Amino acid sequence: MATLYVLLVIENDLIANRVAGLIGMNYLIIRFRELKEAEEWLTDRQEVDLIISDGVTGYSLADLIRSKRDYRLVPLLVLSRFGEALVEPISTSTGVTDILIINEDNQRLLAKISYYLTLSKQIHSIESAGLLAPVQSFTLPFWKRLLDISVALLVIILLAPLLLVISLLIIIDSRGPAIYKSKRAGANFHVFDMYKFRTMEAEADQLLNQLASYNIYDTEVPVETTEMKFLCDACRLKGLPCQLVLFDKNQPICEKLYLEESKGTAKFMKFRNDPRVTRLGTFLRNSSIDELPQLFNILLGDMSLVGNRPLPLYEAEKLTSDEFARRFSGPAGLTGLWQVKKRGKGEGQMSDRDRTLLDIEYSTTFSFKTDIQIIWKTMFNLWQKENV
Amino acid sequence: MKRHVLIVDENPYVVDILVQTLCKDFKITIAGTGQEAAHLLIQGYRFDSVITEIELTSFSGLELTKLIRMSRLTAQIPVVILSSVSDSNTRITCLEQGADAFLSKPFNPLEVKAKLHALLRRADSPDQEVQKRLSVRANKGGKTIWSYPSRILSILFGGFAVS
Repeated sequence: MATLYVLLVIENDLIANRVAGLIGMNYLIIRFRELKEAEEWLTDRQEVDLIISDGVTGYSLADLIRSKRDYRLVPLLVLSRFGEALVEPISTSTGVTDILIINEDNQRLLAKISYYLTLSKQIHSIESAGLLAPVQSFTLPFWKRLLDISVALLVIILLAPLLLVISLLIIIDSRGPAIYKSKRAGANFHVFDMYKFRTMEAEADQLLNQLASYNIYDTEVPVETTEMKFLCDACRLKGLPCQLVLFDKNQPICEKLYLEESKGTAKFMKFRNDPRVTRLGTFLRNSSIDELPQLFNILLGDMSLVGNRPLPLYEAEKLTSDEFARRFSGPAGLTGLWQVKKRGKGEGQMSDRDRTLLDIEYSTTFSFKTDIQIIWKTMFNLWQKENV
Repeated sequence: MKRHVLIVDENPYVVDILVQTLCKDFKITIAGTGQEAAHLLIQGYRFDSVITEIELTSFSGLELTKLIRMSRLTAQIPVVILSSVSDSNTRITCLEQGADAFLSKPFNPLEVKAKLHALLRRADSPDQEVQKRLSVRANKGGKTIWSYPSRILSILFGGFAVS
């Protein structure tokens, strides 16, 4: 074991002896009475693992060691006693690691000192990971923004009459406004109002929960009855009663099974032939005209032409796991990889996991070329093969 | 005055989402590893609250919580664990080791924000008591008089040790 060095800067002999006695014989203790002497000693590259000092000198010492590379990470404990004034306000950042209350009993003091000595050793033994890249919030590259604004403006001007007519039709067809606003999470989980033409009855959101059984993303999970065999395999093999019981409304359930099941339930809700959609709405959806108001979102900078679908919040919050959070590091968009990869070909369903992985793929690889390709493919896919 | 929050997580994308949601309400410092967070605390940087993952490669979230609770200067600050490990045993361990709240991934960043505000509301009052204990009176250059250690006086005027 390497020797550990403890530096004491304590004027009073009695206290210095007491602290030294506590630290014991296993460490090399260097003691100075005055700050000046300690400063001189600290100028050359000394080994030191812990510094304990008087309250008065502690703060000047803190400034000194935090400014030097060699001693920057040495824990500094400042002596104090209850009822006595500390030299500087506690609230400011002082460079002091902890306060040692001298009139506590020896055991407490010792516990603290030995904790910091082990910590110091531990910190030194770990390979420094080096500097980390600062967190980069996603911002749209200039070329992308330019493309977005020019295309969105052009399309809005060209389609203005159509947009007006559609709005009128929606208002005539069923009660409610022409535009439907939904809160969505885009790049970096930036939450904004996404605009769509209203294709459902007003107040449709409240009906959502009643429809969960129609969900096409739901994988078949055998429904456990109330007499569920609430034993996971691990417990059953050992012949033990359940080791992880959670209490549900009316029955106990095994936590392992519960967690497995909740993984199986779908992250997205989409329905075939959703009963809440109006007749006109069905046409708007099939022709993708309902998405046109998002051109205004693009102008505002909430979204881009190509990117990952901005998700409703209840879906987005399920993707903030370590595995999927990367999805939010890309732009939010009107169309994207997912739309052109599978949906256009009318192949079967895509699991939400695959969809998220495609989103991540796009976030990491997008470029001017891929964007143009996706826009091109989208043109062909507008009339969707699936009634979704 | 914005409260200062330390975020400790090795996944830059998770940090990104947190920063996006919290940056309006809080001043934020980011540590990409547990070790980096420990360095900041040893150097005496002060935070009003800490959000950390448990599973960190070199210096775990639990060790970090222990360090925060050890120091008299930081013992009072709220610690929120935001982790992908979320079985109830882990939650219980974290809470027993000194964490104030446990949120599991995937998470809703708005909930993290609400939780921080709630904890800081609570943390405001006891903190002042500690401040009083280690009373804040600037007397620069004045020498402490150690030579008359008087336990009785200190107990009368200073209250009892908390740890």
